[in-house]
Amino acid sequence: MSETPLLAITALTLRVAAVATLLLLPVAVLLGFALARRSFRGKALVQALVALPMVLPPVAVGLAILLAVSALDWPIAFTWWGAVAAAVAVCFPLLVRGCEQAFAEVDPRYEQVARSLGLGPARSFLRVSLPLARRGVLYGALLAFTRALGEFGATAIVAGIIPGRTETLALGIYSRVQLGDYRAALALCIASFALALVAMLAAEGWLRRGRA
Amino acid sequence: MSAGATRIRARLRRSGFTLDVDVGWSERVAVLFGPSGAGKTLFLETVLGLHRDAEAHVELAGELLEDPGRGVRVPVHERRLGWVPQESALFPHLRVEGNLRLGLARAGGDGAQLRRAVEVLELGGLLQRSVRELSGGERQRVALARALASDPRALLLDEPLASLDLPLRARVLPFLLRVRDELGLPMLVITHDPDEAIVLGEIAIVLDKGSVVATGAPREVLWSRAVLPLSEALGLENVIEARATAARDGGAEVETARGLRLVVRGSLAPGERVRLGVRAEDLLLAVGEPGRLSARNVLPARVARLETRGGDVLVHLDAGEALVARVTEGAARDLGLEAGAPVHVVVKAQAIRRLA
Amino acid sequence: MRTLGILPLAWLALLQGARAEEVVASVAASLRAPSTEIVRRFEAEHPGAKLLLAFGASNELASQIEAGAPVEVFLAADEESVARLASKGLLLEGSVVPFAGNRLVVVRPDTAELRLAEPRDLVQPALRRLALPGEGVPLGHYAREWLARRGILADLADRIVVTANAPATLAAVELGQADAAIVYATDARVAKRARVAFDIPDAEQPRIRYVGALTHRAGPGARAFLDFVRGPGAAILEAAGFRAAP
Repeated sequence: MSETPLLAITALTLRVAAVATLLLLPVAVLLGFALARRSFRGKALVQALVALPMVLPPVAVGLAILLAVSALDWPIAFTWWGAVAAAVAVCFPLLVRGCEQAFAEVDPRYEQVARSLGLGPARSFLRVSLPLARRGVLYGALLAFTRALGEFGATAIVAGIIPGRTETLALGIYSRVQLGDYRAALALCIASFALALVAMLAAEGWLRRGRA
Repeated sequence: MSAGATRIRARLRRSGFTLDVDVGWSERVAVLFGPSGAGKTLFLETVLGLHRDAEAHVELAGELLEDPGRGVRVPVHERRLGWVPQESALFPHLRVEGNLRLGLARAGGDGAQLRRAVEVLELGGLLQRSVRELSGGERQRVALARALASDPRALLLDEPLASLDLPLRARVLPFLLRVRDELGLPMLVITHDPDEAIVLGEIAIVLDKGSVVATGAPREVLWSRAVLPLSEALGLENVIEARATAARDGGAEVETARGLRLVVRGSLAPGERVRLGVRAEDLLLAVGEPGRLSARNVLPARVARLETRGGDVLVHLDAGEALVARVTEGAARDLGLEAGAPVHVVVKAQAIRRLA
Repeated sequence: MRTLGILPLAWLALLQGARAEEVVASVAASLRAPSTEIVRRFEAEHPGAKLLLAFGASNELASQIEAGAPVEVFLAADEESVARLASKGLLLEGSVVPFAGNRLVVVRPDTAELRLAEPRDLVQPALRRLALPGEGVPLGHYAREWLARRGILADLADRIVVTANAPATLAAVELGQADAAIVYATDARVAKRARVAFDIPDAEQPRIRYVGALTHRAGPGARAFLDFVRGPGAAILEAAGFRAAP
């Protein structure tokens, strides 16, 4: 077969998922913190909007992104950045929720004490809230990363299936099944199973280690 | 540092509870006293500025921190108030030293405040410890040092000893007294323990159900008519300051400045100063010379006055030191107690607790 | 915090990624088998060039190109898909060239006991499922053309299992999901668990023409590749069972 080697597909999948997660992390951390700590007008609406990509059909999310990047004239459709954009959109709710929960579990008392010690809002966030929520935030990030590894619907629309450029494991499985090449599809399935397993083990291990 | 006047007004509504306090004092060390649920913590947090929905006017030791009328509301992190919350709230992700250094965020500079706090609270050996490994008493000392390291203009302590058992309290209280006496900071200390109120405070503010019911010198105000209804929740106490004179009967003999002698349990070095507490209900009264008793302390005294509360009578006594005993109305009647009557006060050595 | 500190580094590392001179080509799925050799030979002759081939039904590939996929070379199994792009001005003028032909055969699973020796056997009731791609897919279009010519398309209409493209049609038979299928002779040659039931006579064969074209994105590598397919590639295609373009 002339297809991209399994290793390259796996590497691309990891790269897309990692970049998406890293891009998302700062935004999700700040938004999660705001949602956990502040009450503001329209909070319910924000929460609903944040959750939306999780409940919409991924294909619809993909189409929305494709239309948006076309309108904005961003040249990322059919590139691996398109796959990143799709993963960002689909994983956003997961990570924001994860961060919100992580911060909600931090006793606000610690932040109040930090404030009483003279730390302003930013320093109190960086030196107290964030380190205390670290475990939950990273767990959320690992979950989002794992979700990104398997993202298909939105990615197929935004990034297309271009071997060696945008073909992630999920897309590769799909295109091989489409071509009736079940053997090759199965090989990719095993790779993505292994990847997901390792990521989930890492997440659970991290959770346990942090708790000890 | 001389303390300026303090004036605090706070109105704050919580579900089923309203805090409505308007109080002022000029003493340096005030204790906020009252049963649990009186609103003490809410009051302290309002002074800190944690409750944005509170209607508050805060002028602490001469510094104006909050006055809606003049549009003043100093943010929490600029109030310079050293706060030790009830549960101490040490940062679990930092070692002891990290906790103390976070206190330097404001003090900055050479950390002189920090070194002084470490020295006064004897924390030198604990700096590299994880806060999870600390005992209850150590936690409170670290929390206190952290507050001190931040170079506060005043200390706000919320039940600093409440989470400790009695022996531990006796070990931590001296540190609290050192902080009070050596650092000279204005302090506002919450307690529901009369011992602590009397030992620590120059003035007591008694809070119940969200309002101030009395203010005044702790010794007087705690026995005052207004506070009596709270006595059940509080457990009235006699607090005696004395100096050890000699070992005796496996215990020690102490003598107060006015010559009252008592036998207490435990060993004391001669000359050592102690604060002792005896519950009012642990004092027995006898009319006439009592016979042979197992109790080690039998003190001649005179009834100063009687006070009736509920089914009980509080008997204020002069035994060299002022004492208060609590007896039933029937007992007071049978003994024919009245002002000026001579009695003997009987106290078991075991009933005398060492406070500090 | 240390854990978070290494993130920016990971970031940079991920953004790195050396890139050779890559050529993206959309290739009809039925060309998948010989393309391994074509790519190997082409890349050997053009050091530094790297081919990225996306396989699929030609009509779908055309839709992707229309949607903006960054494709430089298009190798289609029919003329219609290419004509559609050309009419929208998406192809380089004069770049459209036919380069191969093919034939249809009827295949059946290895193990089946059904009698299947001539076109009329296809309509027997025991044959319940016939695998074919949709009408838009070149193979689907060619096969229906032949079935219609034989007058049996209507009889089979409700027995057709629709597949995605040519190789998937063969796979449906190999996996036992269909009792028979009409596929390209070149795909039938590489079948493992299916065999040819009967051949279709030349006189009835539809005119199957593979056409190549360049898009406006095409660079020198893309031009070289299309030239290679027409030139040295012809022998490889022939060896795989393809005919000359009709």
